[in-house]
Amino acid sequence: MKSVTLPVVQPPIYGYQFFAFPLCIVLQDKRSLPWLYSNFIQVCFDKRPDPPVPFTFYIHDYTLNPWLHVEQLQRGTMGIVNRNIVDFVRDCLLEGYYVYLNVDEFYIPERAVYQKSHFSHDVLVHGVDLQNETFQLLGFTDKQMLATTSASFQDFALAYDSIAQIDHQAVCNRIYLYKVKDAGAYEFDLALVQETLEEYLKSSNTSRRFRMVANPWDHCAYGLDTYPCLQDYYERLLAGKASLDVRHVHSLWEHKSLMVARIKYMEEHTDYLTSPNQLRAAYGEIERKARNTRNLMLKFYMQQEEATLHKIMRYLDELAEAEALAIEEFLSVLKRHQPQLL
Amino acid sequence: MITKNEIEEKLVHIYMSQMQELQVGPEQVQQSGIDFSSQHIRLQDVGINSLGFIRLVVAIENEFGFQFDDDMLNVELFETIQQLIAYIEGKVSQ
Repeated sequence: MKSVTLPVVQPPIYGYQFFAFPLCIVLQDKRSLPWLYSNFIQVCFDKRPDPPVPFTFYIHDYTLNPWLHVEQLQRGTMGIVNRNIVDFVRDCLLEGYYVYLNVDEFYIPERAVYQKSHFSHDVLVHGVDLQNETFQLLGFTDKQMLATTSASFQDFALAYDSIAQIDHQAVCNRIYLYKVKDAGAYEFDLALVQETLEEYLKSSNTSRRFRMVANPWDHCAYGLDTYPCLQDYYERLLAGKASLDVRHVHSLWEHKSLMVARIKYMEEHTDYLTSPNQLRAAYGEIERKARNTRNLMLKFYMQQEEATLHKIMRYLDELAEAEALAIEEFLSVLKRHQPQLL
Repeated sequence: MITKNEIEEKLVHIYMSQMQELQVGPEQVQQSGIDFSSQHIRLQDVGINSLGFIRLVVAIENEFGFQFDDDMLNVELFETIQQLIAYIEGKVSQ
């Protein structure tokens, strides 16, 4: 066997790679769609100063889903098993495991920081070519696209080893092995969709659902309450008190885009949405405005014109108002169909 | 009044400058024989993704002196280069 490439698909969420990678794997199988569309409804904004992930979907654990077998290791474990990282990753791939870990992208070709600066970033290794001694890595390239590129065994080893020098606090110490779990099963969960939509509308702390395994994330705002947090971020950006971050509005757009896809899925694959025309139109408009907001932020990134930020802030106000109405309509349509669940 | 050919020429110039900035190598594009006047050349064929498109939009706005409509900041709406040229033509003639 000279090479192995484990398949990946383009995921609907790619603003944060830790969400994107499991989806790249499990969404190859359409049986995972009921799980996808039952989840990814709530969002959260981390209100602490300079959080690494300020605003995105709220998911308790991004590795947990019905079609993913996960083995969690830490970098220190490699010393215990006494394996060279290249040999270990190669053998994992040959056994059908994707490998998710952090590397120093200074050593990874076709990355924005390649041979320029040291940067610890997560990658998904999903292929190996034994003849050419290369790995195939999925991640954001220097063209700002989520794509597969190659790295030699030698560069990969340097990129792995360098993490020990640049990540002194070992915040990205994980080595996760992902494997498709064919025996997964999950039916579309209407009750979960209804409950999470309610939580989004009321800005409830969804993390309280998981208090048996973790204390609630009280440092976050949820649902509609994230809009004032986004506004606050833009106020600070205008005042020169925050750094430019396109991810906020990219995640905002991904959320609306997934809501539109959810409605379409429910129309086509369930009988819960019997008269969704108004809802579909409302969310279509919300998604359009959110996409424009994201694109305007990209434009601001290049032009730095304050007027663009003011327009983004106006759009955020309009989105908050429109989305509150759309979710009320969504819940109302679902309630008409399944009143016993509310 | 600017002609369609002039728009095309300016667009080629903007595109080549950007590729040079991105170190993609415009000579590779020239050698590959990409003809902007072709009806069938798609933006993705010349390496323009969503971020690259916004970069192109900003340069086009500066060159031609108009603002793209917010709804048109979407690369997916311009499948071919000719569609982009037609949009520019429509805006500059307003």
